Amino acid sequence: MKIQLTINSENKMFDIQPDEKLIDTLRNNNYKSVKFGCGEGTCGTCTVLINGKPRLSCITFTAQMTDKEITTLEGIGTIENLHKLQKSFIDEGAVQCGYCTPGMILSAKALLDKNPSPTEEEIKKALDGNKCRCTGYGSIIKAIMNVAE
Amino acid sequence: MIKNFYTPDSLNKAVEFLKNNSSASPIAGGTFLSLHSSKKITSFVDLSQLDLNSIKKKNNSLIIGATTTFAQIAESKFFPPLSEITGNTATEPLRNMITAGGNVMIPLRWSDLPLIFLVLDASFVLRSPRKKIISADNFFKKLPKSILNNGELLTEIIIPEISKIKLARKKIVRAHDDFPALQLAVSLTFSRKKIDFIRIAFVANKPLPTRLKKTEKFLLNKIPDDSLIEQAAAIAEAEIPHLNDIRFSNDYLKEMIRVYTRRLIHQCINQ
Ligand SMILES: Cc1cc2nc3c(=O)[nH]c(=O)nc-3n(C[C@H](O)[C@H](O)[C@H](O)COP(=O)(O)OP(=O)(O)OC[C@H]3O[C@@H](n4cnc5c(N)ncnc54)[C@H](O)[C@@H]3O)c2cc1C
Repeated sequence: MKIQLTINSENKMFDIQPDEKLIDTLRNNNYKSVKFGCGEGTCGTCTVLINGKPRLSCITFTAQMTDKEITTLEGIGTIENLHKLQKSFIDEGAVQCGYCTPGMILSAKALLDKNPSPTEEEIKKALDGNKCRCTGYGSIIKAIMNVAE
Repeated sequence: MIKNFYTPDSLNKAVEFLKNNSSASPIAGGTFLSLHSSKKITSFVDLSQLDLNSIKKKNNSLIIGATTTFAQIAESKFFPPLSEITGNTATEPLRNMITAGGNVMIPLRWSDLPLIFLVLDASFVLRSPRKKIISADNFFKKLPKSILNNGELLTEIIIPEISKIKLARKKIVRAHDDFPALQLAVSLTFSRKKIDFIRIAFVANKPLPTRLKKTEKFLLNKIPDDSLIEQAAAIAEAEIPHLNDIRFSNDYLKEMIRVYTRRLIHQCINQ
């Protein structure tokens, strides 16, 4: 089936299978920041923003995305022009293997867009769906605190 | 194998499609269907454009549209105990996806809302497009999905008396997004210090919530004090059947039911 998707503010037509998962559509079209983890909605590595809110692309059908704004990490910063959260993650050493980082940054962005001055508790709650198996939570939280107003 | 994904813009179109396609299934948040869709389903009917995603207060009732997400309920201010529960369910991205309707249609052992809606004496509005209202007791008698006629959709859940009703719930888990050993909930209202409405129910080794009717009857029309509540907790423990569970012993679960019946009644009284 044909579907128009809005990804990182760009409208594009895609030819998808009716049961295709959003993570596959994105990765097959070069949005490689979106990572496949557990495939069952528990780890958060596949997090993308849908209308500004974190959702899990591994348990979302692409066909559910009509009229929705999809944001991946590619849409918020580039190597030349890093988003302030990306810069803060680097400065704070909040990246170990890096697999969870795109999901972490997108969840943090959604939080800061809604609440620019979150407490540590609010950051922990907003990231409760993003697992870091290197267990680097301390520096991740610090990196987000540094960006908060 | 899904061959068709249909996104109707009206309830009538959705119902019509479901009536004419017996192998079509409604889809809401998709958090269950994306993982467990049956091979018999060949079409999905997306409910997201049917204007069912709102939560409002009318007179003294709370009306929750079937596609309202847990995050929307958490952000609403109408009934804080319910917002608190949905605000702590699963994880942030899942709360943005799971809908109230999807959560009650296929109750699972970890599902939060079936138990809560049962103790709140909620009503369930079905449309085909003819309107039918079902009480929580009847809705959760068997798998809710199986009571829907062909083409029928759940459109709203109505919770009565939200300014009067007290609600307390315990979900026994090691981490908040873990599988629970037990869920227990109590709701009650008072009239001149006497309990004039009470529901106590649990979910343990089976997904459908079960009421503790003997305990409810014992407390009804009484003024609760410490000794009465202790007696009620003992009745609750005695009332539940043997709970076969590979992970938790029957003795442990029964003890937890006794302890939390007592604590949750106190919590309701102190609200
Ligand atoms: C990792 C993980 C952890 C979770 N943890 C929890 C938890 O702790 N607590 C909790 O409560 N839930 C939890 N859930 C959610 C729960 O397991 C189900 O996935 C969820 O309740 C399904 O809701 P949905 O809106 O996504 O429904 P869908 O997947 O879209 O649909 C579920 C079923 O309901 C039917 N349906 C949906 N809406 C309607 C309607 N309006 N009328 C008729 N039929 C309808 C569908 O046809 C389908 O059969 C978790 C899910 C995941 C993936």
